[in-house]
Amino acid sequence: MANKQAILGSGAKFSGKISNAKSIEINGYVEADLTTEKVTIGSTGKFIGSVQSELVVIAGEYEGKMQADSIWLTETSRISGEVHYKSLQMDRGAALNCRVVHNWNENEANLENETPLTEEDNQEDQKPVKK
Amino acid sequence: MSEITYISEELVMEGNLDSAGSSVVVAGRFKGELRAKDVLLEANSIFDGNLIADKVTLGGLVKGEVAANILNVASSAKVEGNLKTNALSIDLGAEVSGSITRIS
Repeated sequence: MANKQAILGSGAKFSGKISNAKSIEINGYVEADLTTEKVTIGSTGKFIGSVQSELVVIAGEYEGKMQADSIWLTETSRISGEVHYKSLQMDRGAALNCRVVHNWNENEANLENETPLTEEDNQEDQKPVKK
Repeated sequence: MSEITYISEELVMEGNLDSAGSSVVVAGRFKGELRAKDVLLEANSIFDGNLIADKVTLGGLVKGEVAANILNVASSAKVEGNLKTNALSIDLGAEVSGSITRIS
């Protein structure tokens, strides 16, 4: 098994801190705050707490504030809390009782606008210096 | 569906893990209280805290208290703490310091 992974079995209950994780699969019950690359909550899994991740797949229960690039909520998923996403897929049957927010990539949009501006700014700054 | 709980290398878990009916394998780091049926702490794992299980194999760095019906300390293990067990085996090369008592 690759490094920095964790699997929680269907009978397991965990509460506490999880750090240095790349990928987590939850089939049991977990109360924690997570920052990771991939989270899977299996159909028997329940997760309570905040999640910050690139990819989230949920077939079980989630409660908390989630921030993810890509989210897939399968037909058995039950979500409450807050979901921030860039791309979201929801299957028929998924139960959401939460705030859903789409956040487009603000950084890229700002960079495109700012690059020519900063060049102009520099030129304007240099002119008075030459005088 | 997976019954086993697995904590891989470099991952750090801190808190309370209760996996009464199933197995736990730790290759990374665990700090806190761990309850399970079977526990395997792999060679490069680090455990700090309380461990209660029916069958335990210690292979890494262990600090704290371990209570197990059947306990095996592997040759790669470095244990500092109290071991409570009814059936104990310690492999050649294991470093154990602390007390060993029976569960009455």
